[in-house]
Amino acid sequence: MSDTSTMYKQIQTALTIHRRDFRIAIFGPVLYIVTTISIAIGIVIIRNYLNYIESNGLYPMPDLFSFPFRWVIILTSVYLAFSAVVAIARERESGAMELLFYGPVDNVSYVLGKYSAQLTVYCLLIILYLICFFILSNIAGVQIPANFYMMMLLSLFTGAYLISVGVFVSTMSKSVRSATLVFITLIASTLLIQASQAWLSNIAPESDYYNPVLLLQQLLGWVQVVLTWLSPFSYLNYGVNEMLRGNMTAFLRVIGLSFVFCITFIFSSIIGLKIRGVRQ
Amino acid sequence: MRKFIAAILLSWLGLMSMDTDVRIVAADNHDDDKRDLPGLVDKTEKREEFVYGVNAYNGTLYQGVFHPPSVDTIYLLADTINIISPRKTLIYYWAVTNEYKADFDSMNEDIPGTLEIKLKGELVLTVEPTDYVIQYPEGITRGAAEVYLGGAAQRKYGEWEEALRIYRLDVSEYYEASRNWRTDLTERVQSGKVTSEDDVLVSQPMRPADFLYSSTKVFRGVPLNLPPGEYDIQMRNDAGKIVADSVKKLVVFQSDRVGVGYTVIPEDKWTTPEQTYNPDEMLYVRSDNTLYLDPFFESEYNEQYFTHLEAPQAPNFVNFDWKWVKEENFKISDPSRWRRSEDADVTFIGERRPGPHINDEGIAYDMQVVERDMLQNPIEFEDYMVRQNPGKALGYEILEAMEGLSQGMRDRSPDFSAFQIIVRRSIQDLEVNLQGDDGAILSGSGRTVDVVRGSGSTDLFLALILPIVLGIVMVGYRRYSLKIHREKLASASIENS
Repeated sequence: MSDTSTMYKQIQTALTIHRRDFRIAIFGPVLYIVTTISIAIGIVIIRNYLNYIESNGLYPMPDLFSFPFRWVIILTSVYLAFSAVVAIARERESGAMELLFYGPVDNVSYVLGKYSAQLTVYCLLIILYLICFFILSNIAGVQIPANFYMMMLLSLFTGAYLISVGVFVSTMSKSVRSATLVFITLIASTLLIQASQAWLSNIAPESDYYNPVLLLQQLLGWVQVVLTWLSPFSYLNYGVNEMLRGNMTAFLRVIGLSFVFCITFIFSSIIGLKIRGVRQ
Repeated sequence: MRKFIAAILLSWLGLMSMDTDVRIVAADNHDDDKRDLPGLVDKTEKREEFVYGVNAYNGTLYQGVFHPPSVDTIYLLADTINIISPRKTLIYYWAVTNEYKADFDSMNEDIPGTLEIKLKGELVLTVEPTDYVIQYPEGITRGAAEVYLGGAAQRKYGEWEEALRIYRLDVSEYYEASRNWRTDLTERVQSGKVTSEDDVLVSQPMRPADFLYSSTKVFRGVPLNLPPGEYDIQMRNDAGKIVADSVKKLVVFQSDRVGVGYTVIPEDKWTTPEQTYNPDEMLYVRSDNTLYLDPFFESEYNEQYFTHLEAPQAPNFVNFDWKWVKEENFKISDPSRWRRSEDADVTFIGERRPGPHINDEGIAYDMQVVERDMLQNPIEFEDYMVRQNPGKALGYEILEAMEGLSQGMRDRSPDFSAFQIIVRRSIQDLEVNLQGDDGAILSGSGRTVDVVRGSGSTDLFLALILPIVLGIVMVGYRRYSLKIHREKLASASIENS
């Protein structure tokens, strides 16, 4: 069989897997529950801002929607990455993956199909969020600045990167339990380290806690440096901050790096699945 | 995989337990501090060390700091004169602020030799210490700093001493004249020669203006004016050897951006203004509101660099953030509206806000306002006075300075000067900029005033209807189509049977 026909067959198979997973995702209730919760959290943050403006008279900031949108998008992308983790690990555990691989499915079409399904859902959710933020903008009388759309563009890449991490973790895991544990540990560690580092670095040298936590501060500081280059959350924050500063070079660099990491993890997932095998 | 998970979990448990220990230690330390604090000064051990004393320019003034051996990097602003002074002094650790302090009073020895500056390992500059003096002719924080080197330093310091001597003589003469005037006045009042208030005021001696001219003593140091870059420095003594602890990194940096920031004063909270630093930032405001925008010139620096320029012993965390630093003020465009008390036509008694100003170049700026793409009347920079409401109830009102004067508020300077923006209910959004009388918009001065609707707290949650309805439709459609599908299968199987 020629390379072209093999590739054509892989694309066809990937599209079939994509359609099946996409349908499962959009016709299931969980996606809408997560979406509703995410927007509700975003609304609570916006409401706090508006209450502050109402009582204080003014609030200068680059974009009122930037911070709430980042929370909405982080929650959504974590959910989609997690659902990719569970979907792949469950199929392996139940033996469905092995069954599929007896047919026309191979590691390339399987990984691409699974990944593209989650990515399509993610893209549609971004559009849904855009509509929701338009509604919020009208209700609150807050204009949506041009940099909000740039932030959406960036979130597309960082979200795609996070989903690819989820796919990679699940292709390398033996069971749903281990895949879930690894993924949750990764996400929780990343977020906790970022939060802890920010909190610890605010301890003043005059504080009683300064000396005892100095070593921990330094340690987390160095971990944070590594995370800055790896974490999709760091990419999102850094990219948005630099874009709001008008540093479009850094913004494009973040997009480029997210894309490169995304491709790297998909490629690693394909190879990982080949090495790891389809049996439990 | 399980080993991997276990390792991660164990690390986290370890970190958590470290945190618990830390709290216990911190609590113990706290008690120790309280017990030992009265005797802490006596317990400090002073030791002789080589340090770099640095007079670093921070954009507005020279800040004197020192770099003990524990600090390995010196941060300086590019393209300005900074002074590095190699010294031998006594240093001690001050536990209260967790940093080293220098006792320059007990020991402050100049180190003879030359300062060598290397760029990428190659010697690019060798500078010898020279005399220097830093002066502020208009006063510290009021005007630009001036640095004089070599012979000029001695001469300028001499001029400053002479000016100070003259000022002291003037003050002495003033007190003498005041005493005489009081004695004379008492005699005239007793003899009935004073007939009006003018008789008293005309003959009253004038107090000499405050002595603002400020100067350091003449010190010895190495003046450096370097372009941005990462250098290495070291001190070579007269014997040709490198002085111990003198090898350090030198980071010379410049501002990443410059712009115009504003102090925004809401009418109903004039004592708690907000700052807007980022050019093109949004000012989210409530409608039916009056704002006062007081511009200032600003520069943006790498936060870590700037923090260490001002505080070399600050914690050295990795920090990629940026920091806006407020620099020059804005002054009223028509100087004739402001007159000092010596002038015949006294408007205010007191000083305008000191410092260099954005519009020192002689360009007058007005605030350009654009509403719905329509250019509005420009707003002028005005002086304002705040009057406390009489009685026990809290409250105040902000008056234009002229109006304040007409209401008898004469004996003080204006409380602030700003551009006044009235945000009416009908206004949607405003674009504001500073426009010079030459027609050019001052770069980085633009802001958008976004008038936020006072929406009820529940209104926003209406946006949730969209994902909920979408979810109901999609899940409902799926269930309905499955039901139809099952019914078709059932009827087909019945037909087949």
